[in-house]
Amino acid sequence: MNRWLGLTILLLIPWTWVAGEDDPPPSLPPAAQQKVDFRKDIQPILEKSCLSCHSQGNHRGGLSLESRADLLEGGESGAVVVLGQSDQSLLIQLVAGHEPERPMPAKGDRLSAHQIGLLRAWIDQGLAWPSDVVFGFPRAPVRLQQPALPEGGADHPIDRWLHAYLRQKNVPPPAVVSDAAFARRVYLDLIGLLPEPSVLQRFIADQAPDKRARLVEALLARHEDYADHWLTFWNDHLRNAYRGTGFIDGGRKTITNWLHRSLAENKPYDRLVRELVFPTPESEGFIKGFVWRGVVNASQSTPIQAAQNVAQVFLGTNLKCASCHDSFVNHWRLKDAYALASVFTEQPLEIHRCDKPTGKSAGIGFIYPELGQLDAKLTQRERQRQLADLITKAENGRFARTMVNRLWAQLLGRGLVDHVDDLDQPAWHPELLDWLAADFIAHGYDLKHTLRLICTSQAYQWPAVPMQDGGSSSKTAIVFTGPTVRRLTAEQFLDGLATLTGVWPTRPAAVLPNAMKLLFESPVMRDGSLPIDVDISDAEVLRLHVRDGGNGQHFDWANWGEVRLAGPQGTLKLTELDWLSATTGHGKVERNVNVNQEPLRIGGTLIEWGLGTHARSEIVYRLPPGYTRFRATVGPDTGAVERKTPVSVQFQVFVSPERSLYVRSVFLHDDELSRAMGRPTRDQVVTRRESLATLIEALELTNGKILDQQLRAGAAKLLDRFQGDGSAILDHLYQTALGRTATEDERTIAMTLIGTPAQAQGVADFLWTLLMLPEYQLID
Amino acid sequence: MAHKSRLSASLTRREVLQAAAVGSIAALTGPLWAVPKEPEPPRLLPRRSADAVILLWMAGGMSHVETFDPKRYQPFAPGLKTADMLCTFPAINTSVDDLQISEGLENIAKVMDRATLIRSLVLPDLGFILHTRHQYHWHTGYEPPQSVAAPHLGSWMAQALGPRDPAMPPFIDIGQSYEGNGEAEELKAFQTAGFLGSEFGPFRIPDPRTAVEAVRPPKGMDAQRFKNRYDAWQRLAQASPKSSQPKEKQKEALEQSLDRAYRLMNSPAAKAFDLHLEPQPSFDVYNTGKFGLGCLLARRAVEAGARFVEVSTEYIPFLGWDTHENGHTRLVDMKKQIDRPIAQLILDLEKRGLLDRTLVVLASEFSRDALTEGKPGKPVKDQAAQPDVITDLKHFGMHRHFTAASSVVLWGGGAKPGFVYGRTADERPLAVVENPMTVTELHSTIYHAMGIPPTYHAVTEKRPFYVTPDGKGKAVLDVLQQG
Repeated sequence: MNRWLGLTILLLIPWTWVAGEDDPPPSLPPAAQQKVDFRKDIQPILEKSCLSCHSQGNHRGGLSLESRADLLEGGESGAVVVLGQSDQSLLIQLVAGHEPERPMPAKGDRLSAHQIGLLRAWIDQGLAWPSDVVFGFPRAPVRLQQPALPEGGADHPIDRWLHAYLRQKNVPPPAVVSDAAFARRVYLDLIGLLPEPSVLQRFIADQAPDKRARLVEALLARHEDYADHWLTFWNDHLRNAYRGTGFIDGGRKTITNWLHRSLAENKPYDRLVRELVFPTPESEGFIKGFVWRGVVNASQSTPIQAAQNVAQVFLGTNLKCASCHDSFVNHWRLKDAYALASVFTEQPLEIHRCDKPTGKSAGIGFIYPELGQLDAKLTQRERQRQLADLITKAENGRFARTMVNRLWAQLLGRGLVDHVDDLDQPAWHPELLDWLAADFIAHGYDLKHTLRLICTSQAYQWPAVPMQDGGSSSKTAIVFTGPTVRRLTAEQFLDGLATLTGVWPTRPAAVLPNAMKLLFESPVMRDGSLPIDVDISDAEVLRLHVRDGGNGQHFDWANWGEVRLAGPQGTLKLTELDWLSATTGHGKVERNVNVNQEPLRIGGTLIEWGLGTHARSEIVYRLPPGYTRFRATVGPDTGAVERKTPVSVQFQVFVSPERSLYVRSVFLHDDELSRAMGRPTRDQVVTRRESLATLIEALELTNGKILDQQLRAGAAKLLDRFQGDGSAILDHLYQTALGRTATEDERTIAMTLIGTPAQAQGVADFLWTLLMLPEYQLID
Repeated sequence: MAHKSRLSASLTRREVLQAAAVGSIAALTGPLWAVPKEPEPPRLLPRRSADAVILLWMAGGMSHVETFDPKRYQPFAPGLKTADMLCTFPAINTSVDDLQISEGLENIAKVMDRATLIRSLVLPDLGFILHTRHQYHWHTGYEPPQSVAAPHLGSWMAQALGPRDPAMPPFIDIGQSYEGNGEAEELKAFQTAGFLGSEFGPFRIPDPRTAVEAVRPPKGMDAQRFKNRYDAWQRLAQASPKSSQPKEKQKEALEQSLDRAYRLMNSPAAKAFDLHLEPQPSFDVYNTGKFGLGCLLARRAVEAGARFVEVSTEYIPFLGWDTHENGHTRLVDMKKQIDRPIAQLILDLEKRGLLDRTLVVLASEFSRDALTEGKPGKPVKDQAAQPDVITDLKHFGMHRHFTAASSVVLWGGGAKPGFVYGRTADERPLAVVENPMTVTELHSTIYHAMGIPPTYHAVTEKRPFYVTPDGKGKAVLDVLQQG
């Protein structure tokens, strides 16, 4: 502390104290006669006396001494060095004290005559500065190194790199994990689901040497499951949500449909990013950013948001600090952020420093000019296309490196570069990182290719190691010997629960295109009746909705009269078909009577048979084959109309594919449970989720209403499915949740809880204990 | 304070120095890049005057002239000009000589001798006035949106100071529900620990009437069954073939957090949440509805060791304090909701010897006036229809959003008793004319009372994020007994 206090005091002392008033203006010490050596003679002077004010975010007087080019560029007073003429150089005059009101160095000891002589000689001799010495923040090269795979050793290229790496660290390569552990990992990583017990059994029994590779292949081929799972990852990265701040008045736009489709068809990553940066109306939500109503800080205008997010997500660098002022955490200047942001506006933005206008513009520019520049004469739209080109061009190693590092971090728990959003930090294996990036480019930015490559490596299959603190610097370096233990995400946890119980949500918050097709919609009905006759050929699931007409839900009794399917199979009354689910705003859905259990009447006419419900209501059927028409007569129940209360209902008929019956949690709105488990609200880009459990989360898991309700419903369904056989339920749950059978000990403990005969409460309680086991929640 | 901010500036320079030093090694051994060091860990002040905070949140915009800063009273009469309507309630005396507040707050008036009344809070210009925008700013100190998620005041307190009793969640947020709320997303954006991590997030009790459900077994599960379930979990975790694996952070966090949750539910602290354990007469005094019982819960939670408790009258657009019409009649009701329980809260804390060390803050996102929408001379888009001449009672009241003055009350926790800070004009525009205070200054003052300097920070994305913007807040020591 005292040290820093001392420094503070020094800073507060006026310059003149250092200068001393009675010093005569010194003449210049002579230049040294020797040939100067930068590292030996100059660098120590710069480090001791100059850099604290003239590098890494501090550029006093506008002068940076981070590189030779910066030095030559000079500062606010113009050039500080005249090459070959040290006596004419401002730098020398200042260090010699020729300007008493600004002596240099401004703090610390004055330079000796010898040191000044060295600086003079350095300038006179041409200002030699080795190119690998940069005093700025770390900067990774934009281009990839093209490292050659090490000779010999393992077949798999990743393993070849890592075997060589471990040899060097004197660590023997570990043995790979069991089939069951591998299957659990790869299922959760590629499609986000638990392995199906039957598949797992076959997989374990399989003797083929390539079975692990084939399992990876089979999972990657489950396009929809893959897309459902990776939608979470991309929603976080692109802060895509179905509701959230900004949506309230159209200041934000979802990209769910485009995103899910892109994942399902495994759109190459370069194309995916092109379509985000140079978007179609469907994919423009990311660049559009979001608008909070009211005046926002200049550093959060939507073009700046776009620049920040493009830089962070696709290029692995932080422009947030530089959006307000020259950054203190990396080399970006305020003007860099503004130049990039101006790509997204018609006119270049006026630079605001800490929210204050400066009257200056940074023009339009790309933050990695070595890849090319942007043409300021183009229209905004054409410029965005040009930016998309620059970001995704093959020479941009950062683009590929950032992405493969994210995948590595996702699958192995920790990136090759630990900070997944700061690719200027050192990688613990730079060659492997660049090799993976080059390979990614060579394979057409195929995300599944890199996932396949990682999952089939032995390294991915090594036993998990505990999560550790520590980084890549030499003191805290961690030797990679396998993936770190990871925890299920909220989405994996909830989908796992649904897999275990068979109770899936059926109502998505995000409706995907073609997932729900509207066949019929009535006007808002206050009385009367309407016939429905619509084509349901090829449909798999039928959904009958009744919406509240908009005046509240009092006595909104709604009847589906003579509701039936017709087709080559003849006619099937829906009152005789079991529904999959039925919800209603009041009471329960009734057959052949209204929701108040009185005879069905529509438009004053008695109806013999049909369904009586109350807005809002959804009745879902799986459609049997052989029917092509859906027919019904609908209307508010006459009994409700006669009560003279304002009845208003609206009828809708939807069809949807079978998949829509198993809605994965990624498609639901966030709630107390999923938020507690780490699902972000997506106001900001999130590239890593917290995974350590917390008390708030544990309380939600222990007695939260949402989980409790799911446990009850799950227990009921399990009892039904296994006909009350507690032992079978136990076997099913252990196999599915943990991929193994219970030991005798475990069986005893579990069966005591489940009860004999099995009790609903017991099953629910056992389900809870299973879900809370570290063995279930952790991926190791 | 000048020294404090200099200090923080020098720390930044130190990082640069250190980073530069690493850079020099790099130069000698090839391009091994510098890793900027994290700033010095934040420090707390050597002492604090309060150990806990209760924030009584008047959601929706509480008019200063109708509550704690009454002006010339004008009763309702058809034909009354809006411009002549300064205040729709008469003023009443308080336990402080020469201090008057508004009719309907008679019980609070009796405890004003324990309070510092700040009449000069000036709200910022955040574009056209929006409740959740100002609420976000008031609760985090930052204007939305932010490129990193800004933590709630309560989360900072939880992170900096932890709970007072380890069984208690340090930050409890009472009374705000999201269900069916048109601005739920905007509320969620600030009712969060943000980048500090959910460990410091609010323990939410949307409805204090059912608070006990948050700390007892799920509905329908008795204590024995709850215990059996927990015991079985422990035994199954132990019996798992994987239990013998080495200690691992994720596993420990999971086991410990579930253990803490279980212990909380069985702890004496949990009883704080069961309002039915409160003696009936006391319960009745508080029971003016959700907010009143929220005050009771806040008192019980602080007694049991909570660090920061917020009780909201609940923000629902156009309800509560958000009076776009019927301002007068609705305020009669709002005052009934808050008057008795708040006064009782102060008296109860005092009786228990807790008021000295508990800072109770009453505040709102902005005020209301009948004429000005926004600030005088800086009008913003009108959001309420107010005729020039009032014929209907529904137009009697303060229906526009006003940011040029707002009242804040501080009780206990080191605030000066019986003290008034700042003044507003007695005629329109009713704005602050003496000792204006910003939200940042108010925050700094609250933090100061809790021993947290305005430069206190946490690091995210390698940069310090301060409790007050840029760490530059200044506490207004005039309102505290001891600076």
